[in-house]
Amino acid sequence: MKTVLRFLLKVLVRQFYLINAGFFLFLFFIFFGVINGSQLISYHQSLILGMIDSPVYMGAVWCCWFLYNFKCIAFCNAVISAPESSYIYSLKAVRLFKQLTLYLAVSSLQYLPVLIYAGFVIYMAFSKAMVITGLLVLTFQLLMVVLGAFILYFSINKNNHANPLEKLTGLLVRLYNIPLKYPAFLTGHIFSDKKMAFAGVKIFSILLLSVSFIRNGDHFDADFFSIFFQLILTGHAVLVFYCVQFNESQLQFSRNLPIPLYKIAGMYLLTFSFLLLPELLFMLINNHGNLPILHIVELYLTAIATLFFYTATLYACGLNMERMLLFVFISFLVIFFLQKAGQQLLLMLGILAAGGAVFWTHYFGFEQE
Amino acid sequence: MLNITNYIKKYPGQQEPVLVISSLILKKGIYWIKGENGAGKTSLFKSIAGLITFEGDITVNDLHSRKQRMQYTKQVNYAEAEPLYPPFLSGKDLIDFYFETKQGDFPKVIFDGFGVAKFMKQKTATYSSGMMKKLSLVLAFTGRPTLILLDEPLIALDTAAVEILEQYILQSSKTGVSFLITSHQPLAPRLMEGTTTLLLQNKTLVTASL
Repeated sequence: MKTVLRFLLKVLVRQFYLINAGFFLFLFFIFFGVINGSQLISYHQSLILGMIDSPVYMGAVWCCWFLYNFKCIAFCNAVISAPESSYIYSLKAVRLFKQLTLYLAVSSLQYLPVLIYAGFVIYMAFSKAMVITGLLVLTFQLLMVVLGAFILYFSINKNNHANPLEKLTGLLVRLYNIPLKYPAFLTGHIFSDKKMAFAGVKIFSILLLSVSFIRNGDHFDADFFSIFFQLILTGHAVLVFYCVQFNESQLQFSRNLPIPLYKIAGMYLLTFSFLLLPELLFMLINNHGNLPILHIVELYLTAIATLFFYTATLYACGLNMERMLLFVFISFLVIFFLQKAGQQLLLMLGILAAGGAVFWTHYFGFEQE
Repeated sequence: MLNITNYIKKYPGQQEPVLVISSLILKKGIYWIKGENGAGKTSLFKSIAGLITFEGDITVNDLHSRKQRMQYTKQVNYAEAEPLYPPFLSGKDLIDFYFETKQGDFPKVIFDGFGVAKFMKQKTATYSSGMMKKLSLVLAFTGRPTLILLDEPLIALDTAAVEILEQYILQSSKTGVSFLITSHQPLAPRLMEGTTTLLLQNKTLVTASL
C-alpha cells in the first residue's frame, strides 16, 4: 500500500505541483508577498470575515475553489488518459477500499492549499458563532475532495464491460434501433464516457438549487440565488471542456465534412439545452411562486448561452484549461453584475451574440496547443 | 487538380516549421508520397483535408480549402493511418453521417468486398484495428470525391482486403478520382504503373519520378 501511495504521489501529486510551480508562486505572491508583513494576519482576517459575512463574496470564493479542484481533476485525467500511462490501469487489481483510500489521499494532497485556507475560514466562522456558514464550508471542502477521489477511481477503473445501465440502454437501442445523429454526438459522449462528471455536476447544481428553492423557499433571496446560478454555470464548465475536447479529438474527422458552421454551433446549443434540462425542471417544479415562470425560462436560455460562450472561449484559447478558467471566472463576475440590471433576455442575447462572434472567428482557426 | 502555394506548417508553440512547400501543382492521377517517420506526411494530409491549420493556400479543382470550405470538403476525402471514432457510435451511424453530409455515391463495391455489413451495427468500441481500417476506407470513398487521401491504407488489412482496395483505387482512378497515398509497404506493381512518387525530405516535398 505504501509503495503504491508513494508511486501515486510521485506521478500525480509531485508532478502536479512541479508543473504548476509558477501558478502557485504567483498565488503566493498575490496573497502573501504584496502585503506588509506586519499587516499580513489582519489582512487575511478581514478577507475571511468578508467571506463569511457576504454571500456574494463567499460565492466567488467557492467558484475559485471549484475551479481549482477542476484543475486538479483535469490534471489527473490528462495523466491517466495519456498513452504512456497505461501502466496506471494495473491499479484496477487493488481492492476497492484501498483504491478509494489512495485516491482520497491524492485528491486531498492536490487540494491541500485550499484545505489549509478553508481551515482558517471554518475556524473564523465557528469563532464568530456562524456555525451554519462554517459547516457549509466544511461540507463543500469534503465534497470537493470526495469528488476528486471518485472521478479518479472511475477514470482508472473504466472498462469495456457494459454495466447494467449500459446493457439496458444497449437493449433499448437495439429494440428501437435508435440511430445516433450528428446533433446527438456530444450528448452521446457525455452519457457514454463522462457519466461520472455529469452526475457530479448535476448533484452539485441540484444541491445549490435545493438551498435556494427548498431550504430557503419561504425567504427566497434573489441575490443569493443569482450567485448560486452563476456557480452552477461555473460547474458546467467541466462538461463544456469535455465536449470541446471530444469534438477536437474523436470527432476531429468531422472537419473534413461539409458541415456548415451554424450546424456545428447548433450541435453545441442543442447539447447544452439538453444537459440543462434537470435544472430547468427542478426550478419549475420547486418554484412555488418565487420567480415568474418567464424569468425561469429566461434563466435557462441564459445558461445555454453562457455555456456556448464558454465553448467559444475554449476555441479562442486553444483548449488551454488555464486560460479557460480565467475566462470562466471573469464571466462569472461580469454576468453576475449584469444580471442585477434585470434585463435577463437582453443579457442572454448579449452573451449569445458574444459567444457566436468568438465561435465564428475562431472555430476554423483552432488548433490545440 | 491540387495546387499548394506558400504552404508552411508549424505546430502551436513551435518555432520551426515541420513542412514548407513553396509551390506544388499536381495533375489528376495517383501519387505515392514517401518519407521517413516524422517527415510530415500526416501533417500534409491533415492540412489538405482541412483538419489542421496552416499558412498558405491549398486548392483542389480551383476550390479554396478555407474560402470555399463546403464545396472543397465534398471534393476531398481522407482516411487516417490510425482512424479514431467515438466508441459509442456504430459503423452504421458513421456511414449514415458521412453519406448525409458528403452526399453523392455509396462505395458498394468496397463495402461488400470488405464485408462491412457484418459488423457495421456494432459500436466501434468493439472493432479490431482491421475492422476500423475497413470502415475508415469505406468512409473515404463515400460521396463524390475528386481527391482521396489515404494515409497508410494497407496497415491492418488482410491480403484479400488489400487486393480489393488496390483494385478499387485503380477503378476509381479511371473515373477521374485522384489519390495521394502514403505507405511504408510497397504498392502492388499494377498500382505502381502510372503512379508518381513524391518524396518528403528536408521538410519539403520533391518529385522523385514523373
